[in-house]
Amino acid sequence: MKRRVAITGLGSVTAVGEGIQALWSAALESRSGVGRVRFGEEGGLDFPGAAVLNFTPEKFVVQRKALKVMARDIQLAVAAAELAVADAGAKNLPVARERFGIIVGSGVLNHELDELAYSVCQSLGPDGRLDLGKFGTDGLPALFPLWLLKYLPNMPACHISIFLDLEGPSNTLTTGPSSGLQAVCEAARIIRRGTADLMLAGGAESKLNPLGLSQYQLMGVLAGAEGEALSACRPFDDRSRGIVVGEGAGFLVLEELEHARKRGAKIYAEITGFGVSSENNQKTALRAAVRESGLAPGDVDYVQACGLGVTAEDRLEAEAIRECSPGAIVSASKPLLGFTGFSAGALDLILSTLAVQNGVVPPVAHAAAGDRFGLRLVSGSPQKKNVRHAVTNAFGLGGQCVSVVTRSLAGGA
Amino acid sequence: MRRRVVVTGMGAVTPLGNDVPATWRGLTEGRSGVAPITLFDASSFPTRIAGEVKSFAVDPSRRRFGRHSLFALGAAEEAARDSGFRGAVDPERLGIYFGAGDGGFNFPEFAAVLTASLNGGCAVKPDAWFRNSTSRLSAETLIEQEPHQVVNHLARTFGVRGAVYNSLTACAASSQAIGEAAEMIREGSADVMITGGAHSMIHPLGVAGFNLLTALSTRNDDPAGASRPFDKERDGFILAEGSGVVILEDLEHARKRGAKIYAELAGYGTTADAFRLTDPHPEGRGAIQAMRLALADAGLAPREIGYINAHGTSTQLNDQIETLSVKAVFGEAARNVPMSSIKSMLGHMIAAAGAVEFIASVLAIRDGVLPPTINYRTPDEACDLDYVPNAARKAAVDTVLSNSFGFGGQNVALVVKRFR
Repeated sequence: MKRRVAITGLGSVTAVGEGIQALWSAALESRSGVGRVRFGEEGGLDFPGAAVLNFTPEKFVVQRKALKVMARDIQLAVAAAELAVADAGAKNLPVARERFGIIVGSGVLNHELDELAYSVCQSLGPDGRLDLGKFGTDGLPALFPLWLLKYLPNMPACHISIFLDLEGPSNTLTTGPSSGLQAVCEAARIIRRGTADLMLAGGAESKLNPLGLSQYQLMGVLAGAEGEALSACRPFDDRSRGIVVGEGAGFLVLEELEHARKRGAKIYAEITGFGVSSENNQKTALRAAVRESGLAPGDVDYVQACGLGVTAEDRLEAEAIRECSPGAIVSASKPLLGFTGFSAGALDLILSTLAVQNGVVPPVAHAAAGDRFGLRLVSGSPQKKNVRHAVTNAFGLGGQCVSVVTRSLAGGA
Repeated sequence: MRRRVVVTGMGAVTPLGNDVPATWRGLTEGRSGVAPITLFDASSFPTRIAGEVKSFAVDPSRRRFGRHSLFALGAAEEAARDSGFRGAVDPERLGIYFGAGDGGFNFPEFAAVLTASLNGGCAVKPDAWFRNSTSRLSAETLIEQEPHQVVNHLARTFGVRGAVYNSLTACAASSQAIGEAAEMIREGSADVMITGGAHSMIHPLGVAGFNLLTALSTRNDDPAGASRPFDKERDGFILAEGSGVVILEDLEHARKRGAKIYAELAGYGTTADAFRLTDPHPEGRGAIQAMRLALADAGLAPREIGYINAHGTSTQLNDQIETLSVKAVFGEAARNVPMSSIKSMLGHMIAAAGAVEFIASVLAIRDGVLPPTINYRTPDEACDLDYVPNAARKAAVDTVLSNSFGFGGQNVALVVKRFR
């Protein structure tokens, strides 16, 4: 018999707070985490952003020394992973450690500029330019010995597996912004095929820094700092001015359904299907997810969209939703949480899971009433909806396209 | 019954040659591909040698691509020709599961923007950085350096409409990709998978990063003799670059189209040490479990394995723990199983290493030749197995175990066997 995959734990750290309660209430109330973020002195770099304020990684990382080798993305990842495992009641479960694994969606983590600047400063020639010879003798030793490890894409998974003692399958997917949601798909595959009974999956990113802002600006997707900057990101709206950068982490505990039932775990939802395709193939991914779940397009009641707020990308997504899940109501979280990169898709899956569980779909913050791009956007206040089947999307910016279908098990199916 | 997965095509770009035949010739002749670094001025670095890809012809239309993409496309085109899958598979049933790492990094350009953005001291003025970087750097360069850009290029080139994944688990990445690609075929999600890996970290920050970890050999006066896995005098690994690509296919699909079948991918095991970032578990816990899982998956007992293609990095700790782990899994049989490390010749291609090692494992079965561990001179009492020292060996083998262990404790083992 086919092994089924349940979601039994959720953990998040975002600009609207720590933990899923904070996330859910902010979503229902459209309380956005976007504010003005300033880097350096007054009059310096000033942008709208969704920053995680008052984050204390020491709460989650007992070994203080380890923090030094953890980029902020990694610290956020560990926090959300710990919260998800606690929520699942899966800490120190009496299960074989090699049956509990982890998949993280990740990618290139941003260096702290000042760390490199100090090293480069020691390496300048008389002309004020980098002298590689001097870098070898003076610049290189100015970096700290474990510097490389602080930013390696696979380090979030390694730290989490060490802190939580997860000896099962361990993988890091680097497929662009959708990698966090793709990690969830990969974890579901592993549980289905029987290699593990429990998997942590999700992602984390912190590019709300000068390096990240300039990267998004170069890619031509960053909303400017002028005007009504805090509401500049408007999914499925021609007036949208691009992305507002956020930071955050989202992790889910996936569990083989019978395993979860046997231990009396809280079961949020079941993952019934997913689709993963190459860039700009939104339709392929969404269609595959719906088909794998044994559904007809009209069976999807609600889509938690990627909704980047980048018009060209949103048009592609809207077209895919209209064709592959027509009639569904649509929500999107970017105006609330900013664009949180590798973690965005995982955070959206957390939101859609809570929506399925509570029978309420949160509104798109800043969205005006009425259909847009031919979609039934939820606007203003939350919409009560008995969701049978929900889709969560993560697309865009040159990464892979990922769609996941979930359903409620409240009826006992 | 479980769908069987076979190898129908292979391609490689390595420090020993820009295709599979040249690489395999180099490996079986026991030649080293390690030489002084030419990609940048490394004359003052602790390590000044590496396994660079040489005389690689770049298609002008790909001039802006990262090195990882260039190597991956080169190897994939060879593998595609070799396999003949193009036009013979439904694009929706064709997927990619790759293990691509970094594509290089223009450090001097980055440093120029950085120095132009300093606050008068050694800290960066954020607004100056934003202004300078957005006017002087290019989006294209940024995008082409991303690991996932490799799979984007592969998907476009081969018209892939099925699932696309990229795994980056450090030194285990491409082995993990091969194992997961096989699982996708087994579960019925695809009929043909393009898999393998590509990587290039031979740039100033890459070499500096590994030098800081004291992971690299500093035997600069003897490039060809620097990588010496399992030898007592080993002093670290040699950074290398390149790509290995493997075409995996559902057996029935391959048979129907009359494809050449190299071998069968029979087993895959993956675990985490969950121990420490920089060191393997002292008792090889995760490595042992990965090998056992792969053997069980293949339905083979340890004594049925004819050859082990080792991870064998040439660092003190890895080679010792790998030896101890193999002994734990194989028991008495360990002494009778030849085990060699081709990193002695290629250096360590990081994310791409496992794929090239898998290719060598397949060819060992095809040709009945075991590639050697070169530079093996001084035996180490902690490493006392048969490492196929210094010269290739004729041996008919039907089954090979290939190990890959990544920084941070990720372990992957693959079992490949003669197709029958």
